[in-house]
Amino acid sequence: MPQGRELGDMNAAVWRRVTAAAVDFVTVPSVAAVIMVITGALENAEAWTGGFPWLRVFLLGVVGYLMVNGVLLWRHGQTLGKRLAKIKIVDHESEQVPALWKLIVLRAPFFPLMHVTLIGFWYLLVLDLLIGLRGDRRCIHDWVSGTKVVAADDEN
Amino acid sequence: MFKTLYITLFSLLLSGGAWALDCASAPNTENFFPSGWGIDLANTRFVASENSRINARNVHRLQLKWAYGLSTQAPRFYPLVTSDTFYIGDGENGVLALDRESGCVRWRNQNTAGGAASSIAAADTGFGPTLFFAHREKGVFAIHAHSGETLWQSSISSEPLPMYSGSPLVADGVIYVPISSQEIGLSMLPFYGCCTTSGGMAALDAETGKQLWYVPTIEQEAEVTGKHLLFVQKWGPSGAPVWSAPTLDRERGLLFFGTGENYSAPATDTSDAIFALDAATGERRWVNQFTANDTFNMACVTGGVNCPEEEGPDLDFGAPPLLAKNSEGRDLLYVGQKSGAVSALDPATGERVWSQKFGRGGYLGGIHWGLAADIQRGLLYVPVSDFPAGLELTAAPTPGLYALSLDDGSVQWFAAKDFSEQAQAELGFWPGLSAGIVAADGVVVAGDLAGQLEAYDALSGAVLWRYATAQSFTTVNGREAKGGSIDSHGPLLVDDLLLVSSGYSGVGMKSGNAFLVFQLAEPADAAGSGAR
Repeated sequence: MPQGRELGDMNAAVWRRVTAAAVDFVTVPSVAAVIMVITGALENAEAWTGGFPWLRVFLLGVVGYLMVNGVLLWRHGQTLGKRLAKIKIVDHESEQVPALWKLIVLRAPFFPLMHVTLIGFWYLLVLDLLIGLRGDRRCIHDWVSGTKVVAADDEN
Repeated sequence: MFKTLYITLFSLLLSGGAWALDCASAPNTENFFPSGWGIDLANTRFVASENSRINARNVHRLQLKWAYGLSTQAPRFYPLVTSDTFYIGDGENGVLALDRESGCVRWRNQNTAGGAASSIAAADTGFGPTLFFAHREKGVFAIHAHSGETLWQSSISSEPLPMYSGSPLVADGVIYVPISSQEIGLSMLPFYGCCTTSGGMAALDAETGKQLWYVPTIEQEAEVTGKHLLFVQKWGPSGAPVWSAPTLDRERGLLFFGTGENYSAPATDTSDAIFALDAATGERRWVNQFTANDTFNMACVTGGVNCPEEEGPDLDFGAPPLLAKNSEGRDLLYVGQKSGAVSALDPATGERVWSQKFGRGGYLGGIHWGLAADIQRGLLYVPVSDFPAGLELTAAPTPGLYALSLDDGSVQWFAAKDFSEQAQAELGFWPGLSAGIVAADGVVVAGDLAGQLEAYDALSGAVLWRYATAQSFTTVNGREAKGGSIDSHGPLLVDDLLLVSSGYSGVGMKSGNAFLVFQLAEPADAAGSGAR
């Protein structure tokens, strides 16, 4: 795995994190929707048998997330939104780009929290973010994955 | 004593007061009323004097006895009654047995939470007295009338997305189950390839729930008919759902029911039609289509891409066929359509004997949920909504209650609804008659979409009694209740009682959650024993 550059301990500005989150919030579902239309994953009656097809929607989200962010996370510790906002994820201890499995298995599962606010579970996101109001600006998903978000220099 | 008081208050706090009046006990199940959606198997919606003491002479004495706050804003059940119990569907609380006098809860079945969407019928099975009803998504339930225990649950395997929005009919050990389709709603999704499923009619064994036969209303398989969004395939034919109760003709061994529109092109000759099947085998005997080329789905309402290119007027048969004798003793099958058309058919052949049209019609009727008949007086009662929703609304609406001759459809009287802007402003909604109605000795009871419950004189159409249900009620279960539109299955008369649900947010009507029980205020007259 490529190693990221050493960085100072300057935490990413809140507005940059919000901007990055907003970009990811829109782009991942948009790409997932395109995949859905092309593959027909939710197009027929069988997909909806037994109620709302939660598993298919989740898998579409995973595929969409990896298509948009997979390479960027692997090489730079960034999602598309973070790259545009010039911030990146680093390991909390080493300040290197974290192992991809940590970003996907431990950190990415928190991404849908932004979307479940739309179906009434807003408090889960609030709980995650409230922790980030402390001095080190690390939310629950940062703690779980052992990462933090810092400013990235132009070479990223 | 203080300890008891403390525990009671603590329990009340924990329960939010909603179940404060629980009175766990087994209902008396010696007799059930009615037999189903249509009061009788012929769907006449006529309550004979041995089953109701309410008539034209005493109906003005009806007073609210108690109100119950439902957990849904779109109640869609038709109650079942015994000598001491009402069985109702209470949204997320499932099916309940309420004490008839106090409204307290004898038992509740929470397996059925969220979707008891039909009339509740009863029959004796090997389990004992058994209740049957349809859950909108889960299928047909059989539960024990004494305990509320679920005995079996059955869903149809022949269609991938069945919707059980019609009331089952129970007779002779068989449950006839109308089948609609969830595709009517999925069509609103632009990435959904509308549509492949068909409506239908199923017959289940009342003992086991096992499917005896299933008949789709569209026999041909759906095929790809085009694309949208470059990749999403359109399919057809589809639709012709059945969402109203069937009618049983024991003499001829026939089962009648009406269908709705096609969801997608090509249209079939079985949409907006009346079917007659062999009740024993499901074999098709005859089909009479009333509106051809009616392709419509919910995407047409939301402006979605799945709306068929040639959008149809959506003129379902939501009112069950009604089998009754005319003055010559001839059996006729009376059918009412959302278009406002009322027709009498020969039940043996489906041929039209006479036809009349009332009102403007539209997506929500015209005639929406049901007719009633008084054979002794030779009258067919026709509620007309004419709610302003539909493709062609150029004609003037004529909402109200019509009384027609069973012989030729001629109008005997018409009780018009005042739908002037001033009246609508005062009532807060369109006052059309959409819900099913009920008739008894010299009286017809109908509820309107503005929440008014009215009793009409059977011979003149004069309003004998009126009650505004679109208001707040103090309830026996402590839940805040407010009335709204009276829609779907409408009122029921039994003994000296009138039962009705008020509120129906289902298709954009005035929401509400009140289950209301009215009773004659003074001792009833001598007619009818009232024993049940």
